[in-house]
Amino acid sequence: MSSGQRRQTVDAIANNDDLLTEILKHIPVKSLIRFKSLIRFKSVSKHWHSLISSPHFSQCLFPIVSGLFLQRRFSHPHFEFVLLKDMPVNHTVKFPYVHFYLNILHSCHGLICCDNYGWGELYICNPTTKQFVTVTVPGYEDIRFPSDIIFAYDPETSPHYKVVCVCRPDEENQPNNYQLEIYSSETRSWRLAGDPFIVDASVRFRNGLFCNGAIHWVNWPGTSLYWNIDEVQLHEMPKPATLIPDHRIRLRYFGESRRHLHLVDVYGPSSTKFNVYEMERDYSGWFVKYRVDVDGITIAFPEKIRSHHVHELFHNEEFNHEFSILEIIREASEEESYMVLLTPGGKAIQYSLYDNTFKKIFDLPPCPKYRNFANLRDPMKFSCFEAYRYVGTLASVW
Amino acid sequence: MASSSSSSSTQVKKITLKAADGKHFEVEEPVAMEMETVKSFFVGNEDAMKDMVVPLLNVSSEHMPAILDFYRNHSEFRKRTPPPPAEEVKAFNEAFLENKSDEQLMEMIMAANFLNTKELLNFLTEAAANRIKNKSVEYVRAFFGIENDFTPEEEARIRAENEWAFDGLDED
Repeated sequence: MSSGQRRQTVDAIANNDDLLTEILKHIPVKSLIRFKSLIRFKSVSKHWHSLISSPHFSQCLFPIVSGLFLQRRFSHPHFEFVLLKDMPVNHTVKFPYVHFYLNILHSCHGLICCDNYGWGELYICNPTTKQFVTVTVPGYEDIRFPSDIIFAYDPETSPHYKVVCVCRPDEENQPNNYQLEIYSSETRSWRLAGDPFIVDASVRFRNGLFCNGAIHWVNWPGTSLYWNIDEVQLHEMPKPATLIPDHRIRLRYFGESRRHLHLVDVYGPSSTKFNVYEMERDYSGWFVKYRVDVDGITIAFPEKIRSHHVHELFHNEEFNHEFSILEIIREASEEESYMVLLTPGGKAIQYSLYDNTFKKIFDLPPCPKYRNFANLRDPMKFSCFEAYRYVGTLASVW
Repeated sequence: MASSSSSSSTQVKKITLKAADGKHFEVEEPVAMEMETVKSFFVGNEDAMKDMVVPLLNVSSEHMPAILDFYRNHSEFRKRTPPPPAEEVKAFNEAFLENKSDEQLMEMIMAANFLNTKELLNFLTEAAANRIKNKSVEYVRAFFGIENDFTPEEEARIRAENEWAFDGLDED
């Protein structure tokens, strides 16, 4: 082969994204070298920078969920890390030391949005690349605290993320009058989204969940809403068939996987058999997606609930139960879809939604000693609203 | 159907492959069929097998013997019961890559890509990954013949953003 031909071959590979991806994904997984090499290789050329930062590239390299952060409120370290896939992430995942009290708000496709417990700053972090940017919450100077802050990032539709704030322009006189404000990483600025609107008093904008271009707030037995970001439209979500209006919910899971919404509501006395509901794509209603039976888990790990009373001090006292559901994860093949549960003794259990088998994957360590609020809550207790996914991505945060 | 036992190898049907520079290679049918590109040539046209010459426009004759050697050995490894010890396979693979320059490795990757042979492509891309892992940006540019199209300011900014990833490199 002539040197000219050789040159051509090398060029052909350098310009072939599929072959480059194929080569780069073979950099050994079980070491930090992979992360460091790939992050470094972003500076090879503009083409490599955009290839490595693209969502497609990260999807080829990383599982859809590699682990879970369990937020320990008002403590340091800020979270526990539950490893779900065999990856060296626990050595690499590191949040910026921006504030002693760092509070995770949301995790979307690898980027994580944190705040400093209402002190006016948001941090959009990529724990894989360790990059982060700071965004100031609107109205913070006027001491207008948003009711909810939602992080919206879906690399399949846009490389840019948004942050949505649910604000009450006149909280004292018109408590049900809301205004949405939206930040875009594309313009790096805030703007009002649509006109102010009034909702009925049962609506509480809390724990909003981003999925498929819309933000969802679950309030059953009150009114549950979703807001489509592009349409700037608020809609009501259909009620689940299981809704028992006058009963307290013992266990609730509300989450998203592969752009599907999932809901579990358990009422009344202890039950180890329940259904996982999935929302139809057109929001016409909920259907039973999985039938769950965790009898085996309660037999294998017969743990009693401890320190009941402490939860009464917290707003989520309704989630008083034998175990919590941290995550429901649909894998590409249904046989691999699973659920992560937490027992009252702090054991994280991976439960197969396909064949009901389970295994213990993590023991929650005892709580750090120097927490300010150590006596206020059970250190072994987390709900799905305190579990955040870790997804590897090499996407930029700006 | 050709028998799969090795004693009858003389009766195994052969297929002729023609490299880019016109050189012909006689290959046993099962080995040739490891390559999707060759296989798809015959799909729905089994009669065409006899005396057919399959042109491989993007594969230089320089690499054909090595590629065929890889498939002959690996299909033999797969057939063997009990399976060969891992060391034997590893020794073959290491010997295969020995004395192959970076350029030769790339040419073989292009050939494997054209022939659509997953096993070989996997093996070669892994070899390339091992040659660039933990290397400097400059080394990778030279390896792939990539020109740096960042301005010095842009490059300095990207490096500063990812500073932690720049320590502990291997020597070039």
